[in-house]
Formats: sequence, structure tokens, C-alpha cells
Amino acid sequence: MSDAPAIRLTDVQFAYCKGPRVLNIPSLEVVAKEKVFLFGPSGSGKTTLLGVLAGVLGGYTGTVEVLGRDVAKMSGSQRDAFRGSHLGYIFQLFNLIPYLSVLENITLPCRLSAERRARLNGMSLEQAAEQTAKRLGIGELLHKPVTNLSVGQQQRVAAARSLIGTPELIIADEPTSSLDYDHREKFLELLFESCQAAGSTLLFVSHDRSLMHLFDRQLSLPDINKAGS
Amino acid sequence: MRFALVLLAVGVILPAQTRSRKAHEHGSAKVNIAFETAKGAPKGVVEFESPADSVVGFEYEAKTPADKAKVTAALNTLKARFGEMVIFPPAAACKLTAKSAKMEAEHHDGKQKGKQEQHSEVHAEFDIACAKPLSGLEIRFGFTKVFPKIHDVDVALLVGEQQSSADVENDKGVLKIAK
Amino acid sequence: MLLLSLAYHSLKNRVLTTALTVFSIGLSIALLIGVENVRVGARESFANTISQTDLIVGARGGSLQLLLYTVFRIGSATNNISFETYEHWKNHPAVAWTIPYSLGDSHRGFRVVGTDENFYKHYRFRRDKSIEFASGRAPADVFEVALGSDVARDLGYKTGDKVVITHGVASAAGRGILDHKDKPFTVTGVLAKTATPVDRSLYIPLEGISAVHIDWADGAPPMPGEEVPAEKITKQSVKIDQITSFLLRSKSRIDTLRLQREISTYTEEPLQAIIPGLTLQELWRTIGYAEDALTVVTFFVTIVGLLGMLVSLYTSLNERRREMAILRAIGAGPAKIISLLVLESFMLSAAGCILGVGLVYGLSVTFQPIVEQHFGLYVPIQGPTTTGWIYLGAVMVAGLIIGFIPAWKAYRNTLSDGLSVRL
Repeated sequence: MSDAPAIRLTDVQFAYCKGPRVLNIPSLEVVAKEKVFLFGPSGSGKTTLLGVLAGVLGGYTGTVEVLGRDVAKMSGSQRDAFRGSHLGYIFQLFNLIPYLSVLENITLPCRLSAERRARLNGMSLEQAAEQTAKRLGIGELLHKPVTNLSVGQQQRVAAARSLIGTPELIIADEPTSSLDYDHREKFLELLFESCQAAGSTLLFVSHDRSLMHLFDRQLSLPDINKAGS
Repeated sequence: MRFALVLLAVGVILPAQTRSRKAHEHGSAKVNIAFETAKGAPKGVVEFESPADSVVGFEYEAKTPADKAKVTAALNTLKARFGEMVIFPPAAACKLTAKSAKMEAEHHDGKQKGKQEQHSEVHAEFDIACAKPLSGLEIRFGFTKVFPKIHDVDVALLVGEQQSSADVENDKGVLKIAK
Repeated sequence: MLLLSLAYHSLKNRVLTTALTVFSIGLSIALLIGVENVRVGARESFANTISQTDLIVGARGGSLQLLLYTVFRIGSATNNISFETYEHWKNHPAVAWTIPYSLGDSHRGFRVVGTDENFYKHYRFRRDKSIEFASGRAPADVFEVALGSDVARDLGYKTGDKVVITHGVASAAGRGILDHKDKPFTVTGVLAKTATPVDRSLYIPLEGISAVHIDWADGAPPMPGEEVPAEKITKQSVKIDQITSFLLRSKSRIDTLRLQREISTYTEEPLQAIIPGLTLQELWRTIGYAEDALTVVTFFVTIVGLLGMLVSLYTSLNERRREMAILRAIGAGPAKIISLLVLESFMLSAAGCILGVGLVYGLSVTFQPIVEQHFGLYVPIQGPTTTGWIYLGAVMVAGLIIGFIPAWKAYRNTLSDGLSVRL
């Protein structure tokens, strides 16, 4: 799996229920362990592309391969299981389940997916969560309710959850847009470190290009996606 | 319960008057079943009472040989097939023996003359002996299969200390014998 | 396990709505089970008012009327039966024992029953319970009386007290000129509580009834100065003319049917004989409609409780779209989302059921003695009856099914939202 590109799209076209085409991507490839910055204005198809990559949106033409697996060839539940064990996902905002503690939020993917849990390298759930949380600088928050956290802390908890059990691919959908500049850089730094340690590929989506210089590669979605033109 | 009973006392008077309707109502019948006990090999009696119309088909006094033959045939059917009308639990292996079956003019009906007014009833009595205990078992009914006109039967059951009754309409109803 | 913990935490997070929902379901369950228990209790205690009596015999009239005045002491007889007739049946070869009742007098609202020693010996209720004395002994002499436990309690009488009985059945306030005050009775004993109408009567010998009327003529008291003094009356000197009704035990159940027919066709006097169990059942069927109406009402209450749960789950869904998207993102499939919501609904209804059963227990333990004392209704402290369990099962299944409505909505939401929820 390590030789295969983390993401490969070939001739992918997608439209919502007979509406206009939203995606038309002749080719997109992200190499394993690469940190890619994907930018584009709103309406350029970011959310749709992420949905397709995560295996939540079906009904496209062409091939989408994630970590060497053809997403279209998996059944719905296989896609769910695949997402659960190999992908980490960070939302723009409100990443956490309000009625669970920080620790419970972080360990959630491992409790849902046995495969992901098996990748903890013999650590207990708590140990793994603690390790990941410490790396992200939130080690002392583990037993707090999530409702007491600042936005920046919440995003770090979200990052910790996406990273636990070392999934191969992390997808971050504008995770820094709610943070101020100083916190953005700090957050990215920690995220990079953690991805490095886990050996994960990072696909970072944003419309804020001030951060793009920190990444290995920068992609402009309007350039890749021919749907708009 | 006092409160409930006061209600009852008021509410019950009306139905109390209408309850005797079964005295002679075509289509209705009465069955009484009594066992000394449900345990061991229970022995008992079964009584059957119905307007003659439902069993024989008429209620005037049979005078012609044809009518007399009809009465005899109907009473024989009643005696022979009573086990299909009152179905004792097969598990108890009960045996019915007809003691008597007769058609009688209703005596306490005053001195009205004329065929239209005449009422007759069929009375039958059976002995019953079961090989096994009846406790916890059920008695079912099949009157209409034998006499299609009998569709509303008041069944009373006395077994040991149990006193229960069932209003069997179109053979629907069971009598459960207590354990 | 994860789903269970998620459902638990999610419900706990919305503690107020959860508590209210569980409480409303619990209340409706308590009502459902409680009404069922009271119903069964009422029917039981009703059916157990009198036991081991094969026939009740009285003057011809309504069969329910005979049952009501003989067993429940409600209403009164229009005709009495002669003592000769009573003795005829008492000595019938198929008869094991008889208990005569002579009714018609009262004491401060309680009925006075003239009877004999057979009452203390043979009367049975609640299957095989016999009459026992809380204190004292059965009346033996003409002017002696035993009190039902309610009578003793309500009037504060004890052994040795004098009791004056009133002619006719008057309310507590209606005493006056027709008191048999020249012939007071001495309390010799108080009966133990039976929780049946037995508790609400006074028991004197049959001779006592005759004795207080000994000097009466045509239903009117004697002129002053013409009274026969009580001390001149002995048990032997009193002649019993008539009684009101009697209980009969036949030697064999099989004889019961024959005896019943013989008694109702007795030519000396118009009589009727009823089988108490059957007439009780008839009586119960008559009030069965009220019972059914009550059950229907409690069913609707339960449905309202469940609808409340549906509303609370359904309205919470919009604020939970985000939560569903997160669960989807970490790999929860639609089946898990549906299960989560169905599980929550099931947990709510199950918690409601547990609370409801608890309430029923608590309430019956608290109120059983009060209900028994005031209504003579013995409601056993018990869990749900078979029917009760069926109700509980039905409510849980309904909770499960109702859970599919918000679950389906949540599933539709996740399909349209995918991983993006714009809030």
C-alpha cells in the first residue's frame, strides 16, 4: 500500500441529482506521506471532492482510488469501515461530540473500528490517546468535558481524534479558519509533526493561502476541476 | 368496593330483569357441567336444555309417524354426537354416556291453546367419566356443527370449588378448569 | 457496547428532556399496570367474597338481588322464607350444611344479621379462610352479639358493651323511635378482619331477631307497658318463624345442579337458588364495560407518553445533525446511526417501564392498607400480572418501533448532509 499513491482520481465527474456538473477532474494524484495544500474559493467543489474521497458521496463516473483501493468497488458498509480505519477527518468547526469527554472523543474512532484499534501497536486506548494528545499539547485536557474548551483546543482534540491509530490519510477541511493567525501556525506545526510521526498523508483544504507555503505541494482546485470552465 | 357495589346495585337491576331471557329463546341453549373434583379420574354430569326448535326443528306435539321419526332421529343425534358439542379436553380421556334425552312441552306456560303458542324443550342428561385429571385443561364447544340453529349457549361449570360460566356464541368460548 | 455508551451519554446530556420523557412514560406505565392490578385485585376479592358455598337460597325474585343482599348486604329482600321450608332443605339428604341469614335490622348504619353457629363454623371466604375472632367468642345466648371488625373499629365497641339494634335498615343518623331499646345486646366478641362485607355487619343469633320482635304486632312496636321484658326471654322460649335466605353446601358438586332445580321447583313456597360463583361472574360482566373503558383510557395515556418521547427525540435531531456527521466521518454507517436512535428510544421506554413498575410497587405498598381499610378492596402487592407483562412488552416494542421514526429522519439527514453540515 505504501507504493500506491494515497489518492488517485482519473476522469472523475460528479453531479448532484441531474444538476450541473460539480466535479470534472481528469487527473489528481497525491503521493503517500505528502502534505498537500488544496485551495479554492467556496463553490469550487471542495466539499464535494472531500465527500467523494471519504466515500460518502457515490454516483460519480471515473475512478477514485484511495490508498490503492477503488472506492466505487466497495460496498456501503465496506466504505464506512474503510473510512473508519484508514482515514482521519477534521472539520472546520464543531468537531466534537458534546456529551463525551475529551478522552472519549479522541478514542471514538478506535472504539468504533476494531481495525483501527489494532493499529495502536499494543498500547491501550488511554495510552494512545494520551500520547497523541501530548504531542498536540492538550495532554492535560483529557478528562475535561469538551464544552469547556476554547476553539483552538477543540480543533486540537479533533486533530488528535483524526490521528489516533495512525490512519494513512488525514483530510482536514479548513480546520484553521476559526483560529487566529498565531494559533493557525502553531496548530499546523503540531499537525505536521504528528503526521510525520504517524507517517500519514495530509490533504489540507483551505481558501486561506497564507499558510500554503508550509506545505510540500500546493494545488489549486479551480485548476484541477474543469467543471466550472 | 363499597363504592363499586353501590354503582352495581343501581346498574345491575336492569340487566337482572333481562337475564331470564334464556328461558325460551330460539337459538339459545343451556349446558350445566358438574364434577365433584378435577383430580384423579373425575366423574360428573352434564345437562343440556334447549328449545326443541333448535334440535328437532319444530315445537308442536309430534303426532304423525313422520314427525315422531324426526324427534327420535334428532334425539339420537343429540345423544350420539354430544361429545362434538361439548368438547372435553382430549388429554383427560373423558367418556360421555347418555342417561336421558327427551322432548317436553313447556309446562309452566299457562293454558294457552293453539299450535302457534306451544313451546317445547329438549332436555338431555349425560354421565361423564374421565380417565385423567381435568386440572388446568379447557373445555371447548362445537354446537353449530351438530345443530346449526344453536348459536348462543350459557354454559355453567362446577368443578370442586370452582364455579364458572361462559357465554358461548357461535361456538366461540372456552371454559378453563382451575389447577 | 459503544452504541450503548453513546446512547447513554447522549440521553444524559439532555438530562431534563430525558427525565421528563422517562417520567411521563413511567407515569403512564404505572397507570396502566396499576389499573390492571386494581382490576385483578377487585375481581379477585370480589370472587373471593364467598367460598365453598354451592347455593344461595331465598324467596323468588332477582338472582342478583339475592346475591347482593345476602353476600354484600346491599338492598333488601322483598320476601322471607318460612323456617319450616328452611328446615326442610337443611335436613335434605344431599345437603352437607346450611347457614341461615335473617336480615332487616341495623345498628347505626351497619346491618344486623341473625344467624346460627354454622356461620362461625362453615362460612368461608378467600377460598378457605374461615371466620375467626379477634377477641371474645361467638354469641351463644339470645341477646348476645358479635361485631364485624369494621363495626367495632368505626364505633369503638369492645367486648361487654351494650348495643341497641334498630328496626329496619336506617342510616347512622336515622335512629329513633324504632330502636329496640328495651332489649339491648351484649358484645361477646369481635371478628377478625376479612376484607369482605362480613366486616360491616353485626351478628346475633336467629333467636335474637325473633326476640326483639316478639311483642310486635303487624310490624309495629308494642304499646308502652305491653313490652315483653328481655329477662323473660330465653333461647328456648323464642320461636323462629322465618329467615331471609340461607347458604347451602351440598354433599357433592354433582348434587348441586339437582338441588338447584329441586329448590326452584319447590311447591310449598316460591324459592330460588343461585350458584354464587356464577352470579358473581354475571355481576362482574355487567361492570366489565366500565373496566374496559378504564383500560382504554389508560392505553391512550400510554400512547400520549410514547408520543411525547417521539416528539422529544425528533426535535432533538436538528441539533444533532453535527453529531451524526462526526459519527459518519469516523466510520459509522447508516445502520449504526439508525441503531443509535432506536436504542435511545428503547432505553427511554425501558427506563419508563422500570420507573412505572417501581411506582406501582411503591404506591401499592404505601396505599394498600388505606385502600383496604376504606374500600374493602384488597390489592395484592405484586409485580405486573401476565397482562401487565404483555403491556410492558408492548410498550417497549412500541418504543422500539417509534424509535425508527427519528432514526429514519436522521438517516435521511446523514445522506443529504454527508460529512458537511452547515450550521
